Amino acid sequence: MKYGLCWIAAMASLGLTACNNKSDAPAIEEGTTVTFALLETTDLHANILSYNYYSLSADTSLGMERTATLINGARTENPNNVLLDDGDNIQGTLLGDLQAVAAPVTCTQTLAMHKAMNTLKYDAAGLGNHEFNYGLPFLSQVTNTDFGIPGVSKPAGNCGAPAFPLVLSNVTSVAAQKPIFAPYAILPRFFTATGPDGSTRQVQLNIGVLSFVPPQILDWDQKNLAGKVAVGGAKEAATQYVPEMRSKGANVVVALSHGGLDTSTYSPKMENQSYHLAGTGIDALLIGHSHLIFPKAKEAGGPALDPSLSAFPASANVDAINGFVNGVPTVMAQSWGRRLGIIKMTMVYQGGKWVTQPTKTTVEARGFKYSDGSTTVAADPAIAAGVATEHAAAIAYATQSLGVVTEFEMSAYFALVGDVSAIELVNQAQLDYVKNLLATTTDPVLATYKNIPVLSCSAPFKAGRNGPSDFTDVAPGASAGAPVGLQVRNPGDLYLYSNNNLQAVKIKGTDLKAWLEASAKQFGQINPALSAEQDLVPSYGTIYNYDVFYAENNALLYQIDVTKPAGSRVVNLTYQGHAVLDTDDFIVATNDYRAGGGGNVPGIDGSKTIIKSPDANQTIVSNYLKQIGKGSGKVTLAANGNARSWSFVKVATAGPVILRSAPGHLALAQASGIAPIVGEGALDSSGFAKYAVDLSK
Amino acid sequence: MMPARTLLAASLLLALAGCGREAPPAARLEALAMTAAQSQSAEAERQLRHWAARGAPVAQRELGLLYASRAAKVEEARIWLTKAALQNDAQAACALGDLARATSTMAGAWTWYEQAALLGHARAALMLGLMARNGEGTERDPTRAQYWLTRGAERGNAHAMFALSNMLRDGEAGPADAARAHEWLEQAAEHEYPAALQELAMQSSDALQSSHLLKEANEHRQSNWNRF
Repeated sequence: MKYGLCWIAAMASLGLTACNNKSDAPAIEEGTTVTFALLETTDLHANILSYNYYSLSADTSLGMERTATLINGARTENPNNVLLDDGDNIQGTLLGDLQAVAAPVTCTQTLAMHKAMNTLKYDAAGLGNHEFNYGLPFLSQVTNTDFGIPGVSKPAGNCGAPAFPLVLSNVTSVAAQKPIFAPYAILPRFFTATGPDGSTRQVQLNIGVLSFVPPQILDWDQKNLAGKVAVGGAKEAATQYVPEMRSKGANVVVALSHGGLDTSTYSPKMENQSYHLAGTGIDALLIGHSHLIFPKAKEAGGPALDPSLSAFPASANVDAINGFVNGVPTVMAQSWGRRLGIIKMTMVYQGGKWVTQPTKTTVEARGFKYSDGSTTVAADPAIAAGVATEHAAAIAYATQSLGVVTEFEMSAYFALVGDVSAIELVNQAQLDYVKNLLATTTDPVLATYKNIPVLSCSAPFKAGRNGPSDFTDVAPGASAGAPVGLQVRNPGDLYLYSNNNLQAVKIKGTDLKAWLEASAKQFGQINPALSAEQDLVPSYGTIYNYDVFYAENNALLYQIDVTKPAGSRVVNLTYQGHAVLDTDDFIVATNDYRAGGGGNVPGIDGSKTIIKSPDANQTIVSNYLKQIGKGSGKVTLAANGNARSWSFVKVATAGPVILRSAPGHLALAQASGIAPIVGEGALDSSGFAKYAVDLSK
Repeated sequence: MMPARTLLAASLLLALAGCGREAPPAARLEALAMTAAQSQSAEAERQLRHWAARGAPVAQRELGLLYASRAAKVEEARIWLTKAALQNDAQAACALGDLARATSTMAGAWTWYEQAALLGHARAALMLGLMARNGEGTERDPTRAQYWLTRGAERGNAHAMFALSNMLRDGEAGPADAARAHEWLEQAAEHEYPAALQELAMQSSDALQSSHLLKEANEHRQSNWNRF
């Protein structure tokens, strides 16, 4: 065997990268084999701890603090290893947003996610589409990279960043016409190999890494990227760079492709291009983006293969059980750190190069319960310790003051008999947002809608669906004499779903009537002649579909006749005192769930949306409250809580009618002047109190 | 993304190839279009025009799509898209459907979308489904609506999957089919249609699954605001 001086020096000082010149490397014996593990995390989405920042509670089914344990184990099993990430790691949780938007990290700080990745000593990482969500200047800073894009400058000096190479092969600066990150990296690694005689020896393997993102980043982050970056096809970039990497000594080429598997005909425009990388000369394919488990989970009782991964035609040559795409070992490790991808590759040195032995190569998407199918791995304490400050800051952020007080209790206990205390503010906020948008729009089509009346609708999200304690109740006991400060979390109680974007639809009077009728389906049909007890709201299962409509100054009024069958209950619908005509135009501020067809309101199925906002409904409510805070400093019943847009058509009933709700709030109903509530009865078998309803009041 | 040097080399090749040779493959023409749009590259646009003028449907379609986003070029866009659609380019036909649907009468929208849908275009099938369901630009026809939403769903359009799941759940075009409705709802959620993620979360009795669906929806909220 020949050993150059270079090699001896390298052995003497571990981890030196001096030996990256082919002519200095020792000759490798034909038939030498080496086995090493390529480890993949993907779509971590700022889930460092096993924690859910919205419920402010633990979630041990996810989080890098447990992925770390999988990584430690896999490294012990495979002393020859390379740890790589496939992108979408800096964005996704409240912690991510806090560090990027609310309280952006400074150049001297390192993102919590990158701190954790540095603790874990990643070897390299690619990018995902979500890395672009926070804009190019932020990305430039937190990766300490100059992109060559005019107007995007990294702070001077070295900013806190990953301690490992970041690569991206298919995104270039439009101005500079070159990649914004290094298009690839070649990592020299010293692995223990086995000679043909069975003895072990060290070999240098140069691991080449490239990465790709979907071209759709230019749509999804248009505002941040248009005119600044160009995105080409993955196949084209691989065709360009793989030969270059080989010529520079790469022995193993690993593609970090942030895209799922789509076996349809290749187009550089397609979103999920990973499948088509298998023929470009790469040795291993690490993929992500679609958050799936590939190959099929191996642990006892593990989830079935996702339907989309078992639907490929045979001609596509995708082996979803063993993890091969056209013969290339391929892994997708789900998301949120729930899995670790492990491609255990065996290569043999043949004809002067390293050749993969597929029969000795295995692929696994290892989950937290891999050992026995039921025991979740423990967290690695080093991870939590490293981000303790950031974690505490995220929790503090969720509970900080909004700078406004409320003089009334905002609850959903009696939302189904007309109380709007937990709904009106949401409607006011949404309406205000849409009115401002229309007033200032430069869009030629929207500008023609400036004179159309704007309404808003919102539902009582927490109103008994999950039991008698599941009711919105913000600021219990608040009054003019004893106002209560609102926290950032409270918009979350008023507007439950942080996933909704505000959207607005343009509809006719007929659509409005159908929509109101759809909401009014929540009531049971009350027979005034019955002497038996009747339940006004027999089920709270879909109460999130009880939209309550509102117009500024309570200009929209309607009544619901619960003695009629569903579909014929809405009467006396007026706007500004006039009956609503079928042909009247209205714009309704709502959310992407409703506008996109949630609740199946007739005609509201994504076809009538005129405004799609990137702003969350929850944030819009929060901002509206902050604005009030800066003004009067308070929300009051008169201004924000008792504009009741609807009431029941009065009817006297022979027997009792009840509304089930949380017990103990009769006094609130009386103080709020909710006339139909006349008493509180016994509990039902689920713990709801049966409030007596007098529909004649 | 083609740096200038590569673009010039490519243009030389293409210029030579232009003498009676076949058009470059679709992926090449699409890459040219991406460069033209993303980098405002006059050279890429010129090459695209070269092949469009020589009758290559993919070039005609890509040029049409490029021009459709420029107010001053909309009419020229229509011409190129029509040429491509007449050569059975599905994306061009769908784009013509979009242009027609934006007019007050929606005249011609159904025909263009139908051509595209028959060629396999998923979003065109969605549009046909919604138009038939709502009686917009065509007669209200729930059966036809469900037919086209099913084609769109089968071809991977998440919005079609969700609309279809609603039609099936409420039996809008025949007997209600809760099982199939749920299958399509799951698929729609998998493909990240926001309303589907929320609907599935709210229907689920598994608290962890429900919280994960909403977490997923929340994670993608900002970048999916205009995706569907």
